[in-house]
Amino acid sequence: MILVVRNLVKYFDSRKVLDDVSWIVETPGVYSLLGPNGAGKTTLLGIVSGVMNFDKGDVRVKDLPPSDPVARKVIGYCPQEPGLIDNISGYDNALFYGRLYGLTTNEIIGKTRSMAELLGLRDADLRMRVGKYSGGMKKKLALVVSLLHDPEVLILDEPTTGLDPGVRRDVWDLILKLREEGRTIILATHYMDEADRLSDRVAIIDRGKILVEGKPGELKEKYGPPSVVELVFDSEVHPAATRIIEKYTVKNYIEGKIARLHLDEPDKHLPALIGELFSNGYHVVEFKLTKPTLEDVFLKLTGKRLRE
Amino acid sequence: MTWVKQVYAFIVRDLKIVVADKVTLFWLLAWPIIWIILVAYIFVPPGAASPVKLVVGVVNYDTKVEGLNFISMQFVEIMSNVSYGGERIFNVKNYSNKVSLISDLKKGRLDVGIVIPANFSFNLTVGTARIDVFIGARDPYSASISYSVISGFLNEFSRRVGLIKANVTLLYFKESLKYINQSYVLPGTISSEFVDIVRAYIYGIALPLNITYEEVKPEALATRANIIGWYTIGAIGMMFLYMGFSRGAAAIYEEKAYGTLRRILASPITPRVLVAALMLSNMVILLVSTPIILLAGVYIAGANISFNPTNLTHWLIPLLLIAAAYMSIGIGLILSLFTKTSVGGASLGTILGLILSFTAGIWFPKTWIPSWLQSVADYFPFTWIIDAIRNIVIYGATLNDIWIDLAKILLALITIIYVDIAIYKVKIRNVITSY
Repeated sequence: MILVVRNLVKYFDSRKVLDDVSWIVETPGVYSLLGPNGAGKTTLLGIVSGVMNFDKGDVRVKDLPPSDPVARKVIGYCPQEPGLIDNISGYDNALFYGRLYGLTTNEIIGKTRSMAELLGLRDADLRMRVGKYSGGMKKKLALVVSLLHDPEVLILDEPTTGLDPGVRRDVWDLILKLREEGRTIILATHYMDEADRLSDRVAIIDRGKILVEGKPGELKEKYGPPSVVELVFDSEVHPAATRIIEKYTVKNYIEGKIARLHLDEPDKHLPALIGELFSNGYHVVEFKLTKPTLEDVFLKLTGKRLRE
Repeated sequence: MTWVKQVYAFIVRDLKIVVADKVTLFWLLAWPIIWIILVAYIFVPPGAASPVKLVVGVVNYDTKVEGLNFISMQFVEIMSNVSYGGERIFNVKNYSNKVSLISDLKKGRLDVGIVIPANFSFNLTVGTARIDVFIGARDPYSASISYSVISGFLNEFSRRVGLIKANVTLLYFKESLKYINQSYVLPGTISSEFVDIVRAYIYGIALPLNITYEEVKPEALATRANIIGWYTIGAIGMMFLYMGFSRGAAAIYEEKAYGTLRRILASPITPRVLVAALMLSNMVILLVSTPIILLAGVYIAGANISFNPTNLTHWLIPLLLIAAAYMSIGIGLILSLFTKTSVGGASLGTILGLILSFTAGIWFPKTWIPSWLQSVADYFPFTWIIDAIRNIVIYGATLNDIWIDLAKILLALITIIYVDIAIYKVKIRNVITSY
């Protein structure tokens, strides 16, 4: 077993932030923890990586408690905030963290250089003070630092939050490369497309509970709505239009000009819906039937969107 | 030996952070060096080890001086020529009237004013001459110094005039004996013996005490260079206090503020090694700064600090500095009990460190502070260390002279270590493990 979490309970003061969470990772691959902000993802990863303690339950990484120094050498942890020191260079940050794992200076420099190259960080960047880095560069270096000791299990907490699409793609490529190398990547994210694209298995978490767990396709098939329709309006969806939509749909979410709708019987309800919208002066310029996504699964399970 | 690498990681990282951080560098190096320079060029400027010089205003109303052996102008001339260590003590300025003299005294332009009344010379020759002395004050301390110096001069002048008058009296007495019936002379003495007895008696009236003065102040305090040396050690002590206190109090919380604590806690480092590494890295920062401050004191301010490698007692100084570094950071760790953030810890440590620097005999000599406050210095173990260092490099103390102080310091260190361990167990470990 790579990771075993059993009946985990964690309180912050009197607030229960993890409620009887169980999660098992048996084989290498990418495992995503998908949930909105405040769902308990960071706390769960903090406990698994040995940073936080817990109140009840049991956690084992490679059959060891995460507080065990041997288990910690197995784990590479990249928290949400990069944890880098702005006043010193990229290399100096890497040297500091590498030495905590007992690595030599040469090992750290060599490893940093090669890993950074994969993410597009140059030697000159690594010599620069981290305070001069962009947010994307910091995230990249944070990932490099987490990989210095060749961890079998890599725990990434929201690795692409706030990154531009190009950097995000670089990070995804690295994650897929690490997966190919046979490592286990545990990934917390609130991006549905990230979880969908990268994960072998996804656990959907909300309010401290894991709601469902499985392969992305299985989850969509099992928990997704039978049909999803996306309507594109000529202008931002009006609240009155939203009220009309709600009459015909099981669930829906609306963002800007786009309305994503869960319909029970699209053949029957869709023409009626579009007709009523049109007669009230709301013009649909495009509509398409799409496959359910993990976002739809989450919406169906919780009644709310991932980013709410 | 992973823990060695882990401790080394913190030391190297923290040194690099300090070098890159201008604010920390200011407090670590610039602030103590500024104080040394202030002492060297403002409070103890070149020439400051020479005697006190007083500006003396004189109004002389004694104008009828014809036919007298000693006149008031000679008194003023003697005063102008009085010297100590080859330098004149009084800078005499003549005034035409008492009103302008008093006015300048009140404006702080003079240290002392002297009014020589009419008939001063005559009265000095034939009886007792009056003289009026006014003590000014140019700062809170100068009045007492001016009083001591001018009264010392006038007393000495008075004694010497008395001696001259005694000699003149004896001369007349000796001459008059020729005309006195020998039977009136003291019974059983011949004339010359009688003269000797009277001479000794009259000398005794003029000079009841035959005082000798000899300076035996420590060589180290005899020169400006050595005084600056005293303050250079004080500056190091001051820096250790505010930096050690603030860094000790903020060390753990600073990792949280940097955002590094999560990563550190996810690494194989144990809480015990983490705390030891933070303590050691901060000790290294203080100790690496020490030679730089010493060199600045010696080469910029001209301090004289003697280190003799052949003197075994002098090798105690590095050990005492290590003890001082640990003690300040260790006390800082105790202060972390009263704070929850790095900013709070750093502020509390800096304020307390600076207050103790000025009140516990670290920067200002103990004798400058009120007696009730001197007990702070007497019972503050950090002061024992700084005093021990000063005793060695300034007063040339040997192991025999300071072994009791060393024992007290050792005892204080052991106590602080135990208190730190207790604090680690009840608080620091919780901060770390319940992130």
